[in-house]
Amino acid sequence: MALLDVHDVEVTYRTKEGPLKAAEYVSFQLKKGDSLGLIGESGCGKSTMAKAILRLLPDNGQISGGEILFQEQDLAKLSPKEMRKLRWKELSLVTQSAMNSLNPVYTVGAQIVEAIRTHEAVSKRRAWERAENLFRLVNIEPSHLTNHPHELSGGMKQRAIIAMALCLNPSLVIADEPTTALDVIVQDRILQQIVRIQKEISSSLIYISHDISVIAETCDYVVVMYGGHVMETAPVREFFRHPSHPYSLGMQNAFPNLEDVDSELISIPGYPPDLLNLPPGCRFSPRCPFADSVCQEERPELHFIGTQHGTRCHFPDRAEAFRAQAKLPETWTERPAQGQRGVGA
Amino acid sequence: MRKYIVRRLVQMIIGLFLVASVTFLMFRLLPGDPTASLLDPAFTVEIRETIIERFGLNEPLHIQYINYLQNLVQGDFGRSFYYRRPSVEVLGDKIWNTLILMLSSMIIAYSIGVIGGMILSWKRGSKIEWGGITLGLFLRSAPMFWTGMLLIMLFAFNLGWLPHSGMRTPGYEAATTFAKFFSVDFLRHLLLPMITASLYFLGTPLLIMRNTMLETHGEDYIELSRAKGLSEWRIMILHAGRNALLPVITAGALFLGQALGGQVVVEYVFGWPGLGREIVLSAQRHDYPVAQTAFLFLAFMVMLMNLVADLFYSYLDPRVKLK
Ligand SMILES: Nc1ncnc2c1ncn2[C@@H]1O[C@H](COP(=O)(O)OP(=O)(O)OP(=O)(O)O)[C@@H](O)[C@H]1O
Ligand SMILES: [Mg+2]
Repeated sequence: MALLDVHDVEVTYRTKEGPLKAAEYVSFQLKKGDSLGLIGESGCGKSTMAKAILRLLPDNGQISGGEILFQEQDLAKLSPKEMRKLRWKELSLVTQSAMNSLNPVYTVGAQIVEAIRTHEAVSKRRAWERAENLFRLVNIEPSHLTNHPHELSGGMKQRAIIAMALCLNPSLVIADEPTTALDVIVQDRILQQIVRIQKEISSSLIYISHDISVIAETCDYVVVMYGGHVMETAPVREFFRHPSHPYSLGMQNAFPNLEDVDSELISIPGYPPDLLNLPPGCRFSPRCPFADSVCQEERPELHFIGTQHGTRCHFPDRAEAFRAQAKLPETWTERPAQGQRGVGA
Repeated sequence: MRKYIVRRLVQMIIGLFLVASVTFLMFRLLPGDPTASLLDPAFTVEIRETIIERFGLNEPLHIQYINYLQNLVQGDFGRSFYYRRPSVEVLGDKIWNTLILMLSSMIIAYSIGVIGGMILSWKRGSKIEWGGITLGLFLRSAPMFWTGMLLIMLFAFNLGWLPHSGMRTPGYEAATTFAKFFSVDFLRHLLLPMITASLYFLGTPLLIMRNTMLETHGEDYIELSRAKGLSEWRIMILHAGRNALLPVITAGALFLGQALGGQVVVEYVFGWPGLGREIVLSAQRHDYPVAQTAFLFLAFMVMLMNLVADLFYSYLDPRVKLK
């Protein structure tokens, strides 16, 4: 039984222009101790999914369908009080803007102690000692616990948040682009720490990023999102050896390849779809070099081509041929005949 | 920190000097003859002249001004024309009377305003919020003498529950200083003016707290607090509220000036023997020394409270370092 089983989840935001479905038919599983990388371009619904799992969507957002089974209970159906008990104790979150997430008027230590004592009946003293150990774990001098957030550097604040996210040994940590605001060297160190500690305390990890190489280094599984849909899901090696969805192929082209350093970087022309005005068929069809008329009309199902490898494409059997063609720059520069929609001029 | 306070005190002295100068001029520009209250028409010309000389009123204005400042520096605030006693002595008890009324109504208004503002913002979009905002705007724009009169009419005349003016029932003698300010009789007198002043002061902290609190809703630390599984009450008070309080304190310090005017009105309406009422009375009597001294005291109180507000602010916001 998976620790987390997200099944056909749909999230809708109420907007002035009408309902906006930021996620639809999103399904993936995660086992205890495993890590899953959620990737996709900006605006494809990654943060939305993270917030949906924690039930932290803003007031205008709601989970409008599907199930989020966590430890065999459906999070979407829990009462606010039951959900509150699970938060941080079992499910913790490191956000994109974690650096600004510390309350400016309290010391960092007080904020970690608050998290511990909200969920566990321990003395302040004991909680503080635990906070000190956590700081050591993320390589911050424990004396910094008495500092206010503005007295710490960005990297330290980020690590403090990571320490806080681990303070209750949660079963699942969701890290939503936890390092984007930091410089590259610090990013890398923090990434390594997250993975090391996650393995140590054997919690599961969902790592959200738009950087495919980061996912390659850190995760056991990959879930690719595009325009609110899961386009491909696979174990990480399988994903890099046999990517099957044209969008995954395009994305792998756009990042430097570690094994094949000489390969040219090719970006996918066009822009992600407008979620208020979606193409009726496959959401990637307007940008897909292999799209057919069926792609524009019918929404593809997630076809499983291996036990754990699924692709939301009408042509899972042509993956082999797609892979070969996708390597050629002209595949991406020559516009497909039916691909005018959504393609940038 | 110590340096900061010293600097603020120096600024306060300069401020008080300016207040002294402006009030000195202001009262002298008022139409009317101050000697009228000083002199009995039955006095002979010689007596008149000696009295006028004794009070220095025969000198040209700039000499009077210099004398006034010189005396001030020596701690001599001048003699009242009307009471024929040093003005400090006249105002002595009245300072306490003013302080009690002013502080109690401020504390009540700020406590209710801050908590009310928090609740309004947490209930945003509801009828409660709408009603609260309307009430806040109404209270802020309702003139104090008007609310005061209404309350007097209702509670003093119609219902007869509370006295309509004064500070103590005539003939009442307090046994101890403590009883002076904590007897039932005193509190009954305090109630109506205190409510009137609190209602007037309430609007500002209520509306500001609601606004700044609304801004905290989108803050990342609020989202983190939710993710941490904290209760809504804890988030509202200890996280959002604690941060939203900062601008309210700044606004409160600025608001003190306005509160001064309110104090004069409420004391006058309720016959409360404080500095504010004395200012009105002494201005009517052309009793410059008392009016000027009362003004100086009030200005001093406001400046002091401002300083306290700033110190409190730096205590609440660790990012602020006083230099
Ligand atoms: N509160 C909201 N109200 C309306 N629309 C929203 C809201 N939050 C997000 N969206 C929309 O939902 C879509 C998905 O947003 P989301 O933040 O989940 O993207 P993301 O994949 O995390 O992107 P990024 O990589 O930029 O963080 C976007 O099109 C966004 O405009
Ligand atoms: Mg995001």
